[in-house]
Amino acid sequence: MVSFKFDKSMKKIVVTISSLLLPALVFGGNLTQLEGSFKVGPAIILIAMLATFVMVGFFSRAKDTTDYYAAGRKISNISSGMAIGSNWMSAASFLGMAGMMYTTGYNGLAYVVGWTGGYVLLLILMAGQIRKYGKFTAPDFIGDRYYSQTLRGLSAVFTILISFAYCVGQFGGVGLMFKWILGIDYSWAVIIGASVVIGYTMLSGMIGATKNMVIQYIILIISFLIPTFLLTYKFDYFWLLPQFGYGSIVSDIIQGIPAPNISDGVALINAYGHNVSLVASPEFAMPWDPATGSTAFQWMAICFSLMLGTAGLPHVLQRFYITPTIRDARLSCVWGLFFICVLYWSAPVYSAFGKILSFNPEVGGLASDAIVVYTAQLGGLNPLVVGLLASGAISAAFSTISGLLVAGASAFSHDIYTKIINQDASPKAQLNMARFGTILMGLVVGIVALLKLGMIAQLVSVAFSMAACTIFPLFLLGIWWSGANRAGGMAGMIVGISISLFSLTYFIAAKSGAHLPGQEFVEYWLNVWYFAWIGAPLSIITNIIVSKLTTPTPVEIKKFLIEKVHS
Amino acid sequence: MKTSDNEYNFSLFKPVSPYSRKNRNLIVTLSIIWFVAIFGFQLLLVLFEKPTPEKTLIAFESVWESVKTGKATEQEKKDFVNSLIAVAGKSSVKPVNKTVLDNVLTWYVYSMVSDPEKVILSEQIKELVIIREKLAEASDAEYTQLQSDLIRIKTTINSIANEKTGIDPAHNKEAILPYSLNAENKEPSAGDLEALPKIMKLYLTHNQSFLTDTKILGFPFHYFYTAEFLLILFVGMCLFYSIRITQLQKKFSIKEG
Repeated sequence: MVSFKFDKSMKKIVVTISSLLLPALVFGGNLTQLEGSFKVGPAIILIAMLATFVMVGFFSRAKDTTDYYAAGRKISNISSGMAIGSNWMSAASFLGMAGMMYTTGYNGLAYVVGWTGGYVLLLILMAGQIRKYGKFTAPDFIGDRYYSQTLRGLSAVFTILISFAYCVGQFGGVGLMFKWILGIDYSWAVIIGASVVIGYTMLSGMIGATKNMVIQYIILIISFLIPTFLLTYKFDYFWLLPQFGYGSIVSDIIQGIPAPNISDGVALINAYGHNVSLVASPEFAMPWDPATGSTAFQWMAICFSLMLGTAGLPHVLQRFYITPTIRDARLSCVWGLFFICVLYWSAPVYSAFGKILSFNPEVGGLASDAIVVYTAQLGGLNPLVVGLLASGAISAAFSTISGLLVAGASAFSHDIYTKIINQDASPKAQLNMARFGTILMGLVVGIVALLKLGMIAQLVSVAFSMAACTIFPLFLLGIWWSGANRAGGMAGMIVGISISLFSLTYFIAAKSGAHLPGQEFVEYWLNVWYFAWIGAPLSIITNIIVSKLTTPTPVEIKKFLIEKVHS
Repeated sequence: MKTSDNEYNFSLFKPVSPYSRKNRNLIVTLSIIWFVAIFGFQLLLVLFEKPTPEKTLIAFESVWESVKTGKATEQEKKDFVNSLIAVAGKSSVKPVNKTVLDNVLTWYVYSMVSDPEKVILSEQIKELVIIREKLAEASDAEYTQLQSDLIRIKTTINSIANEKTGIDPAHNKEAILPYSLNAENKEPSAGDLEALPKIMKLYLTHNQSFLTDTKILGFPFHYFYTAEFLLILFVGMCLFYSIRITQLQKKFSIKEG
């Protein structure tokens, strides 16, 4: 049960990477290039990082479908926790979380709480039971538990759709960072990024993706933490533990910072030479501030929907199949949450510094997509540190993309091809189909990302509520109530899909400039980010009512649940 | 040994063994703590919150009637201009509201300087707008020159307007002023004047209570609770559950795979 023995292959990787990184240290100190140009030091870090991912994938090639879908069920709980963390933390978490708090203040914290609180539900209600059930994928569980090929197929399609929309969204972050480091345009960023991630995921499946996720977590967390220490030290705040020491920055933002702001007799300035000062801005921290246009209901609805969505996302659920034991599945969830929280405790530091460093009208509002990198730049940090940060963002995107590719490809090859289309497929054919599924999904995602269909990337917002309304109720009732049957599952799924489609229609209409009847009502009460606040309970209630009124669950399923899952 | 189909029925709320019962109690307890800790606290915030104005809003409201009716003293005009700049400097101001603020601010700042100064101000602001546009596309060499031009223009604007408008140098309001003035000095429309008090109220009123005013580790308490404590609680709850469930399994001799 060891995921990271320092074996011969790992030694080769470390030696190669070290030799690639040396020039970065030589060139790193002289970087003064402007936005969008080729930056030598960060470029070397990026290339070394990409080479590592490919090599880890090559040395961890999947030998069979258990390797491909569930990493051979031999990933230790700490490694699995890191994989959970990096699989979860996408470019949106890495780059966008701080941006959310920068633009919407306290409302952004609904995302922090929503994206972490869901793991408590996941652990106490599902993690151990999912592992005990012993399947490979989320649709696999649903198909078996509800003894329904239709539900298996539907949930597989949902898994592919969610993974697809999510993946496309990641390429926005990859494109942004590649442009910053290499000075290349978005199309090349997508082509290079997609080739690397498809390459190593196709070769190694879940086993290589998971080993890479551990490395990606280490890169992303180190790159994210270093600037927080440097910024707090440089601007004279409590720097020993910035994650808990940035309270006085928040208070300074609320009260305003006088100019000139002096520390040790020196006026504090940003990278443009502007005074670090600010008018009083309580809207940054006060709850549902009128200036942000958000309400307490929206805060709670977003938080609730994200929590249920987190516990219902297929690529998150799939991570509990890879541990050797059920205890490991639970511990990996604890570690995973802790590793996620390390980043989520740090993200507000960037939003707070972004606020004070960008105050001068000449800087203007920072683009929330890249506020983390811009804040480090505005703080005048060494370009190598900023470059590492950008590489961390790419790591975050890659880890999520590979997890999604495996989840989507597994749904296609295992749940649709092997379980529905060709039930007699040999293990070799299954493995080939899984690889084909990864390439197919990667290519389609890459092509759609190249088309820059902004709408697709925005559909990520619907993924959480959709997962909360469709997959979460099936898992919750499937695990905890033997009475949940096929008809109930189907009815609950239909309700969940209907509400999702209803909200999605209004969302697309609004984005296209059309106006449907009751547009304002739906946008407020059934917004794509949080329609699960009502959709998930309705789906659960429908499942219960229909299950009570129809033929009971077959006894062998009840027996399996009680003897294998709950004993 | 189970003897009938019904004996295989179970649910979270109808456990079938002492171990399941203990597990149920643990899950229900943790779920209640989880729910109350997250949503109970937010409801407390709603319950105790009170729309609280910033000092700037009080200053604005105390002079607004005089300014609107044209009876404001010099000091009242200065207080008025300072209050507008305090809002114009907030990054959360929406463009539509910023336009109203800039229109009104421009009118009153121009009304406080002499005619020759008005001409200089207008020319400088026109130049400022052009330079800002050029900066976005500038090469390295041009960038340095444009920056020094920018500093010259801002210095000129501030030297004309600061004293007469009583700009408070604290909080860098003088840096905001050049970017909040229009080159063209038009009397604000009735719509702008009607919208202004609402805009000021919108950006200068905040939901506050003892939960937001109390400090802990430098944070407002509610911010600390949500951004820091809740995450610690989540990790703690998960760790506690993992340890406790292992203890229960040992106690009831449950062997997991």
